[in-house]
Amino acid sequence: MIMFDISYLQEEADRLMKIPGVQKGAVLKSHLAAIKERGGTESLAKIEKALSDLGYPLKLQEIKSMREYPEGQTALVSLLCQKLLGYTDEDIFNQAFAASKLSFFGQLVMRTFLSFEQVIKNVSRYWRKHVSVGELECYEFNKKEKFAILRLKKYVFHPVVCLSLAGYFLGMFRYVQPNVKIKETRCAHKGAPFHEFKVTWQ
Amino acid sequence: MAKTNISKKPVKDEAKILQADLDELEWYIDDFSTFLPLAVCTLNPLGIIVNVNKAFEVLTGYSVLDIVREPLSVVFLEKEAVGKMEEKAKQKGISKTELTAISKNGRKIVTTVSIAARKDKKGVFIGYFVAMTDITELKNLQMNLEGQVARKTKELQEKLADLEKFAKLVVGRELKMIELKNKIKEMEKADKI
Repeated sequence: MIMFDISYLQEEADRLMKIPGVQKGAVLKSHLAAIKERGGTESLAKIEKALSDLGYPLKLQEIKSMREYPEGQTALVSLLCQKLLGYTDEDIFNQAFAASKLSFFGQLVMRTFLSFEQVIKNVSRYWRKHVSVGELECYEFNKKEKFAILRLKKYVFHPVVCLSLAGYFLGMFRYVQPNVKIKETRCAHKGAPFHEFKVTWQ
Repeated sequence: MAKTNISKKPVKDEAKILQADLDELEWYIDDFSTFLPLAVCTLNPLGIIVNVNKAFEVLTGYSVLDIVREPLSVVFLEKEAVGKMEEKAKQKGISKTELTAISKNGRKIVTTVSIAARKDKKGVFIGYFVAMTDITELKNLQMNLEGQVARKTKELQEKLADLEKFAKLVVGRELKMIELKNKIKEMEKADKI
């Protein structure tokens, strides 16, 4: 395996992992599974080794869906995808979009929703089931003009996470609404008081 | 004050036990789903695929990433029949029929499809379970046998026709002989007179 010097990421990794907040293992597991689906076991092994070298070991096979893991670890995984696997912004988005298809927890929750409106209006509850940090709310739902505004407050990790979140959210919405799109319109990493995502559909 | 039989285990211990049970359950479901030779998938109430097992991936050639979030009809040739089956399952609990699945690489697979409606403990409809069995080999065997039976029937019919012809011929000759015998008798009578 090609060796990478990742010591320059140590400080950032430590910072991310110190941010309080946990998530269900199912989310993390689905992200790593999506990396494996995209780049095979070699890509996954690179990420797992890097996590271990940085002092935050994690193996896909050992993650338990219902256990809690540091929320910073998802950000760290996305960051490593960029730095080690050369993922572009679009790749990060697509990887998270794919991850939402592989999430045990997602499948468990999404099987019961009957409509897109129901999903959008329940995002807070859904978020809270996954993650202990941050507050996701449906700020506006405009059925007539076919858009919704989601706001994520008190959640600042790394800009790469915004792409990942957008991809994951879109993936979840696609379970009930095929032609839905998402765009981050405000970002807490760029001075806004919260992240804001505009969701549109046909 | 009356004593109760409720366990006095600390909440943290109870949580740990529950967590371990959940881990065990997840492992069991994963393992069972991978082992199960029957192709199975789960649909949400809108008929969208939310989960498939390994056997489903092998049978159809579609991976989880290909097929999850797609309607079930994507997998079958008879698109309308799928919707009707879902409706029937919703009303009657279960529906079963024979459908042609089209694999990712275009191969036609004759399958028996069972769709069962799922309800939560309050009786609210929450989607479907779908099971598919590949009966292509069985169908080929059946068609082969039917072909053989048809061929043999035709051969028998031809032989029967020959026998009938032969019988007609034989009966005809016999009739002719009887006629001749009768004529001879008549001529002999005439000679005597």
